[in-house]
Amino acid sequence: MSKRGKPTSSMRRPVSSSARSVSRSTYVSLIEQFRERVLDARITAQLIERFRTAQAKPSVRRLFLVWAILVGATALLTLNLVRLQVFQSADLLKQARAQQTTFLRPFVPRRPITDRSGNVLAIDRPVYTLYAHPIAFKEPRTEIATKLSEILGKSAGELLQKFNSAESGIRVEYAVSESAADRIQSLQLDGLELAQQQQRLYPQQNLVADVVGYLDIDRVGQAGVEYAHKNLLERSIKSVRLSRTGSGVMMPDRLPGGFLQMDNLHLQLSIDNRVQRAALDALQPQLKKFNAKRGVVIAMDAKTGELRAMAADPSYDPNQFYKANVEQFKNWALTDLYEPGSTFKPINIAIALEAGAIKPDQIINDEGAIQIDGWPIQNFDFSTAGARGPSTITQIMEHSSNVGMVRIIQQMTRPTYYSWLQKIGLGKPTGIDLPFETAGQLKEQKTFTESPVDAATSSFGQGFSLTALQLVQLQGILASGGKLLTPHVVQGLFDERGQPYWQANSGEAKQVFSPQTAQTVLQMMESVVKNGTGKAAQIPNYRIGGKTGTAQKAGPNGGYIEGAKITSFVSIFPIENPRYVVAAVIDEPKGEDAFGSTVAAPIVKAVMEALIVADKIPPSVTEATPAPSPSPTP
Amino acid sequence: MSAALNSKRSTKKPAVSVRQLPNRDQPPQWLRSLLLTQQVSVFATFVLAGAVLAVYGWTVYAQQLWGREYSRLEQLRRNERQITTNGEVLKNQIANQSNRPDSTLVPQNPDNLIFLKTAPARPEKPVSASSQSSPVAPLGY
Repeated sequence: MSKRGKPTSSMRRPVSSSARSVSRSTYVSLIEQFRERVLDARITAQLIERFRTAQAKPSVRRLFLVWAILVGATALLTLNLVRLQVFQSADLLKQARAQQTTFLRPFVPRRPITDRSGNVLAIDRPVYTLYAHPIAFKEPRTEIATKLSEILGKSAGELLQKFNSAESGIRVEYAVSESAADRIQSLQLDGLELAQQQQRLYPQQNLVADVVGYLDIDRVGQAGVEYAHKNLLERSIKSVRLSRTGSGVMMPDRLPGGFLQMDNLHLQLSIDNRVQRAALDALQPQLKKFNAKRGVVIAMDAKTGELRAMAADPSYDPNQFYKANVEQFKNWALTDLYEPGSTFKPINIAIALEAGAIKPDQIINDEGAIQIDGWPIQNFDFSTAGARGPSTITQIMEHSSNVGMVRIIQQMTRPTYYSWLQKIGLGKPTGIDLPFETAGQLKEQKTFTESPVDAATSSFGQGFSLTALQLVQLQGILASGGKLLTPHVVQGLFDERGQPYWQANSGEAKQVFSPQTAQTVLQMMESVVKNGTGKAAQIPNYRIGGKTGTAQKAGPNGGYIEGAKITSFVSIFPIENPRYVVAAVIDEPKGEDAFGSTVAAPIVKAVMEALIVADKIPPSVTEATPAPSPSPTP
Repeated sequence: MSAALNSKRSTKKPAVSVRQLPNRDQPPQWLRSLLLTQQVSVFATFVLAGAVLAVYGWTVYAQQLWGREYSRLEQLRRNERQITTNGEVLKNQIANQSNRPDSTLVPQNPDNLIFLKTAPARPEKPVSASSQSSPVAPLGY
């Protein structure tokens, strides 16, 4: 070893001495100066001389020492490595993971609900709950309270009082908005905690509450579409574990595929916001005017069964469902049964025509008042109009004659009539895609066929019950050319470009009446609006058919409630090619002049006008119709 | 060649047996191929090392880039949400305000609508050959 060291050092020397000659001379002069100035002692000079000329001599001891130090250090490092990698590894790994990984929980909202033209009816937004832990405060409480009071809009005193109430875990504010949460975050105060959660916002407030429903405090749908279509609305929240760099930037190396492809689907309803608003705006003043208990307006597309509007009042604001009366959570258009009264007469006429019991141009004798099985039945205007005598079917409809209807139904056997009532779906639910629907009530076949008075009262819409929605569905048979449509509100899931992802299909509609029968009855209904009780629903230049209804209200214990009635109006338009069935049902309007024609018909008219505007339905009859121009010859 | 001559000359002299010197100019085939392999592999090593460094650097950078872009995406989504929400709330407010008695907004009704009848299709004019014969020459660019 020593042999190897020597030649190398001797070989290097001349090279280095020549290279350093300049620097060495400067050193020497510096040292000379130093010596002269400070260390003028001879011993010091000798010492310096020794250092200057000193040469390292190779020695085994020194070499061994260096070797031992290096090996020892390596051994120590190895030991440390073993300690870190073997004994402490689990603990350290845990610490590292805690520091480097972040649980990324993306904001996955419940799908929004929109109306048919994309207006949002329900949407999720993140809100924050602000917790305070005064035990961890690094600043005085008063200071934190003043800072927060500006952002939260609460008085500093109130906040201070909260801070003094406990050491930690105080819920300061329940729903802090995103921007306010950002401002609180930027204050960088210790002892404050923001916990994110989602909140359902219903921007239209009470407008479509009966259709959309609401989410309770646990975000579970409790009514309407929110309840019935939770599978379509909910999306699972997968939290993803991600690595994080020192600066807090997330690293996507462990990202599962499709993480970013959050679908932008929304649940689209067939409700038209504008029509709905028009319906509610027409309904509310009428309810006030007649001091009515409640009212509902339904508009249904006569071709598909889609509901364009379903407005009820009183309703509730789903944003503040906890403030509402529990009674209001049910959509009484589908849950509460009532006796339809005269609005059912067109259906009965269609049944009689379809069963071949009457001819459209048949003359029926209207006695004004009769006795059936000992029960008196008379027309509502018998005291003023008396017996009308021989009348056409159309006239019976125009005057809403009860006796005329009894005579028409008597043209067929009671079992036949009963089987027809069953065929149109009385006593069965409509099958709408909203929850908690009640099926109508129809008497047992035996009692019905045996008692002549049951068939007689059914002829003018009493003695059985249905929901307001079912009334619309039954009128839809006439409007759709004889098909029993299933009313529905959900159109399907659509993406942001309006492309359907999933569409609700309501199956094939059952043909109940022939199109000819339906058209015949529609013309009679048109005559009701033109000449009869439905004049209040006329819209110039449009062919509109309708029927009023004013029925006694059945009490919970059988029999009828004195003075309580349900007024309604159903309308189908335009008659030449029916597109909509609109019905308004008003529960317990008060006053001498509270009839279907006065209470409900104006509401229906307003809704029809809104539909004409929304769908741009051209007039049926043009004023001063010019003869159609002859087709041009080429 | 010169080496060959030298060897011939040496055989003539009987004195001592002369060992043949290895040919210095031409290293043996195996060595040459080994050397070539070494050169190529050194070059390949550098190239690969460079590539590895570049790829590694890219992966680290790409992740950071992703992190930044993701937070941007979150911000955009949030803005979208807020814009949608605020827009809808505003719409509702305006609609509610229009019901006030002092409001000057009126609902649309059929009287405001004007329906225009679609005009009958005009007869197709027979295209004569002469009208199409002279294409319009560009006057200048």
